[in-house]
Amino acid sequence: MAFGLFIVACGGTHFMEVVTIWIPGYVLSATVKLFTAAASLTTAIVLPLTVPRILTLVQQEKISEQVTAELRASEERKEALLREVHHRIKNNLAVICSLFYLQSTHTKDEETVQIFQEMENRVHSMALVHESLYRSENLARINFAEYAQTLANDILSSHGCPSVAVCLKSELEPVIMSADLAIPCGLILNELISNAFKHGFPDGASGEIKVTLRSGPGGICALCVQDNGVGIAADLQPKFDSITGLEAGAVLNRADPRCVRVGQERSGNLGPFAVYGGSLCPLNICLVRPVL
Amino acid sequence: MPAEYMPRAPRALIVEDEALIAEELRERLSRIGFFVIAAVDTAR
Repeated sequence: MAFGLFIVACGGTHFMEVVTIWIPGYVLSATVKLFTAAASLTTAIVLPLTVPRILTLVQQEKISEQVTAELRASEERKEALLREVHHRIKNNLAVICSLFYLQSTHTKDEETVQIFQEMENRVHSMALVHESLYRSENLARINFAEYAQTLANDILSSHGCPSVAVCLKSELEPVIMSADLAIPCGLILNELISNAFKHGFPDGASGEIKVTLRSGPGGICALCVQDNGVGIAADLQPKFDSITGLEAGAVLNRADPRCVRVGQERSGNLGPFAVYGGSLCPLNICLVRPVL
Repeated sequence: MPAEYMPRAPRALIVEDEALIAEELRERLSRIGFFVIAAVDTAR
């Protein structure tokens, strides 16, 4: 400020000197000169005080730039590390799948082989979440539509397609889901599709399984597995945990029961229910954790 | 040469660094009629 004033005053002085050659305005000229002197003096006093402050500011700017660069580098290192961790988790889960498969080759008992295969598929559904994670942009959320498509295809091939005459149809809208929700949802989806295969089409019957995913308002999305197989017997009151053979309670507890709801709430019927020509299991997933 | 080797069988080479996964692949490929030449852990 003072320096700026000094510059202006200097200019004013010189201008006045030129003017006084023609018009003898000595008083005005003297005033301007006095003003310049005052500005010059102020600048002389203020400048030694301000210069170190300016220098410190410049230095601080440099340091903060350095810190930002370091932070960015550390962020990148952490991201790479997290990606690597997800990759390794996925690899370890894939090894567990291999172990289940290899163990299943040591028995001739059909039922035992089937149990191993179910376990393999369950672990695979979890491995797939980690695979989606390390391929994702932000490492915390996945596109559940892509996940569901891959999972459904993998379950289909694990049931020995193309010899099985069941085809898969999917209508999946993109839904971004956090990893902690995707794991239980993936497990439940795996059970539902596997069940449709296992119970819906006995003795090589043909038909189709349809998986739909719709994103609704308020962060709620609807996942639905429907098949046109034999359906569920009317006398059987289906319960989710008994039908799937999986402790649904454990899965849902992990998912937070307020976040995932299986089945039709109105009728109080949790689990797949019979529809005309087949069975249907809707699943409502709340993507945002409800506020208590 | 393994006993199940048949001249007409399609041949496969497994390249997989995880030994157990390679073993699973060998098992699966043999079951669907492949003759697995070897399982190696790197392409080099």
